[in-house]
Amino acid sequence: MGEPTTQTLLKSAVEGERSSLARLLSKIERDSKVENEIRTSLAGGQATSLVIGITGPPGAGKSTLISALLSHTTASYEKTAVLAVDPSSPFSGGALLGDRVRMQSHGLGDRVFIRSMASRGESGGLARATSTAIQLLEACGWPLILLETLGIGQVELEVMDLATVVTVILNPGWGDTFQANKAGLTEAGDVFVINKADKDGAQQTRADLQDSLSLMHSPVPIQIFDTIAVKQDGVESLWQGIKDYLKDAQAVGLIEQKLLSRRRRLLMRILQRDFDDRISAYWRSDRGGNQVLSTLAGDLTIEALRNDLFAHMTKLD
Amino acid sequence: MAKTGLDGHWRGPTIVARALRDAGFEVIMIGMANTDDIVTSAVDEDVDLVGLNIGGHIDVAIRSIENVQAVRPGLPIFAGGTIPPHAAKQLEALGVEVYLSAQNICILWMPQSS
Repeated sequence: MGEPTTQTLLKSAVEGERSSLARLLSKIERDSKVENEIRTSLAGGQATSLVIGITGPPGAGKSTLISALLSHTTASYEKTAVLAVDPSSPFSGGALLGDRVRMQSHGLGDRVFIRSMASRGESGGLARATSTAIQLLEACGWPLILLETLGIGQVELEVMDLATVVTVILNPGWGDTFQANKAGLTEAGDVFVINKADKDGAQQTRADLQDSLSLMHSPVPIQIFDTIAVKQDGVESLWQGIKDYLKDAQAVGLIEQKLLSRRRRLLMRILQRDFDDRISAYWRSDRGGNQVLSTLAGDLTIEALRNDLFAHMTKLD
Repeated sequence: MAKTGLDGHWRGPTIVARALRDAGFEVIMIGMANTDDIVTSAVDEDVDLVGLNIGGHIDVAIRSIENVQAVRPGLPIFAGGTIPPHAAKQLEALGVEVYLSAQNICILWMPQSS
């Protein structure tokens, strides 16, 4: 018995077979041709699932907060899928994916699907396969997807391109007023959380953040919630806050605007990746390899190499 | 990589997970887990290998091994820990290979993938 084809797996995954969905996610991660095939098969499907991005620095409590949110999200949406990204080693390529440790024993059985993903060299806080994974989860009937980024710094904000609403998790003592006004992270959030709010400095962090957010001129008020995720404290208010944000954003047309720019950035990224794949294919090909060597030796200019690459791009697949 | 049973000794599974990471594996830690958690994780994460750290109650480990085998036949499972001799015999009866090292009994089991 051979390995089932992508199309066979896709059919059974869409019918609700978890192991087929799981296998397809692995295939998407491993092979960009499979990823393209799935994207093509699912083209035309409406993006109907709500994607909530959860991002913030390492150790902020993203996974714990997701775990605490699950009982609320499944009460509102019946089922919840979680995609949790952790970093791959730039040295070994290996990864230690620890998000599930915080999410065990939710007691919600089949109503929750959790999948860990290693970033595999991507620098935007997500994995290359994440966008297609979301598309697949949507097609398989998961109405709500919680998308957890790896622990980010200031600019790994690809989550903005995929999430309908971005939740930023910070901790007391995270920074001062200058940190709060730096570009990047604080611009990306629609909802903010100060987790571990029982630690010293929560009020100051809130004040700094409030100050910075007040200058954002968002058409929908951006709220800050205090939580202690390990104790479930504040988690219900946060979930209500996320729902309120979505309602308000919908009312002023912000969601539609966000979805449009999300699609535009996604389109751009897919094209960029296809270009990257073609550049890699050229690099590996006999002709490309020789041209690259000539360029390194100084016999060929970079401009000539680029012209040759473009001339051969359509022939490489 | 899961820990069955109730004790909190994390050094063993953490060291093994770290060594695998450094060898280029993607290791999904699921922590202290019951049988259902182990089975669900093995399916949803589409894993190639299950690692169990066994301590104390051998029944949980045996049930986990049987249940994982039921949903993913042929999936290699490896396990280690401090196992008393009577429990090691129970595992041997399941086809587990038992290795002795110093005062602890280490267990390693790698059935052939079908």
